[in-house]
Amino acid sequence: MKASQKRILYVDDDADDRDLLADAIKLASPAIEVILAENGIKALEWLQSVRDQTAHLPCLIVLDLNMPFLDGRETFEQLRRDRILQTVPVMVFSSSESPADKTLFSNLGVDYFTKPSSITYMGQIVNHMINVCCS
Amino acid sequence: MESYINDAPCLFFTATDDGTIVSVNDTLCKLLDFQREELTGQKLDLIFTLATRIFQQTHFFPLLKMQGHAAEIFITLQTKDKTQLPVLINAERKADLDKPLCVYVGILVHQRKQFEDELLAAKKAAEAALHENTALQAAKKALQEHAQLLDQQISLSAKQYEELRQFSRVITHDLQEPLRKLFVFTSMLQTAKDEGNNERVVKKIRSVSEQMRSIVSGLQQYVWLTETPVSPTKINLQQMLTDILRQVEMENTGVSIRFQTEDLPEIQGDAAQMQILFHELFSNAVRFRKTPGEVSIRVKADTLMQNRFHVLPEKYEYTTFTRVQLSDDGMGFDASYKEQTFALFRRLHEVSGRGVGLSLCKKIIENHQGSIAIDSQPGEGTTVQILLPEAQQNVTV
Repeated sequence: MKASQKRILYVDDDADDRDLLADAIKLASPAIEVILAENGIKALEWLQSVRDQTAHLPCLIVLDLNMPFLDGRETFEQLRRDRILQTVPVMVFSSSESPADKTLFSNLGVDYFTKPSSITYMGQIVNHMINVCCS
Repeated sequence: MESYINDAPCLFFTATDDGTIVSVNDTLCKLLDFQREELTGQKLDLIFTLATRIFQQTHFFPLLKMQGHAAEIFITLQTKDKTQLPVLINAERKADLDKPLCVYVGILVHQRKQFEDELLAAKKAAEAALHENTALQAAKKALQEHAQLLDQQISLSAKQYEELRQFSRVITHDLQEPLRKLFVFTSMLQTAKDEGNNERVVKKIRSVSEQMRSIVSGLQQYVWLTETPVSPTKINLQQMLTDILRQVEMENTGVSIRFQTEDLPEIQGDAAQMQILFHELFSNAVRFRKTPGEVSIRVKADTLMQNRFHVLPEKYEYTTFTRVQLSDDGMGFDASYKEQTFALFRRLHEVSGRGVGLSLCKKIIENHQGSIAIDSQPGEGTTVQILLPEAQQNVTV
């Protein structure tokens, strides 16, 4: 693992979405490594393994909300409780249109993206993510 | 008259057959407040109340005349000022004299009367209490029945609310998602720069469509189970499970299933629904097996007493349930997520599965007023426990 390597951690239980977003990131910025996790538990496990080497931490964590075992909201809370992990920016990428979820995260200053229904819009979201956090 | 009889603690008097008083003792005179001269030569009517006079003529004297004696006869005497005194009498008729003589000995029974009154009152109270108790019993029974109805309705409406919540989740999320993906994939085809990728995208479209179809058909099955009434019959569990096992083996060629059963009883249930239930459970055991080519399934059954009430606290009525336990030696899962396993379309494994399976199982068991629980350890296999009331209503043979 190269320390200078930029990484995005993407947590989603949906295999299709994992592929789509990872492809979109690769397309927009081939230099960025995408780490994929299928639920919050796996994501936290991976984060624990790099937690003490700040250079290896991702520049962004993208969270889906509805996942089995540990969902996006719970995962987010766990991240906020960790002195080091709370410094990593988080963005929500979910199909949930629930106003409650949107308000919750926008109040916390977290960008909230509803999963898009076209590949073009997907590209725009990914560009925004990279520009804000990983450039 | 002998002096000891005169003041003995008893009422003593004699009279002729026509009721003329021949002699009285002092105790009687004192009690009735008469002088001796006022009584002797007078009729008994003077010291008998009207009721006693009638009783004397119709019963007491005829008895005395016939049998020569009468014991423990209860009469009422009256004093000079007509105060009534309850008296218990023993009498004898001396018929061998020239002029037959009736000898009466009595004691005052104020207290006995009181006891009798109390006894009567107690008897009346007991009868009233018994009556009230019967009413109370009936009320209690009605209450119990209402409580049971209430329990059923509460658990039904809680169930319906939960189902509604799950349905809306399925429609807003589980069906929305593949639909959105179809849009994404078709937009990829439209903007494709690289034709070689198209085949992969089309494959994705097909698989997402298949996913939608399976969700819709799962929902259909679920709705069918909600709307179709249970028609219970007697089911030979051993026979049914053996048949289903054969079917599951055919559907999963290359997997050998070791099947072991213990004391499987006859159960009551809807045959079609039970078929779906056990088929689903066996298929799960095969699908989530640990070793690629084999899985072992063990089924045992026993009976136990369980409270029929599901939600009302402190309500108990125990009935017999059949407990069926299915254990496999498969990959298992973390039991702390077992609540999620029964939700519609919830999947804990990445391994293929319709996700509707266990929610259908739960629905079927609830249709039979039973319960289903699952216990598991990662790598240690899974045990499903089913409780079914031993008797279903309206069983057709």
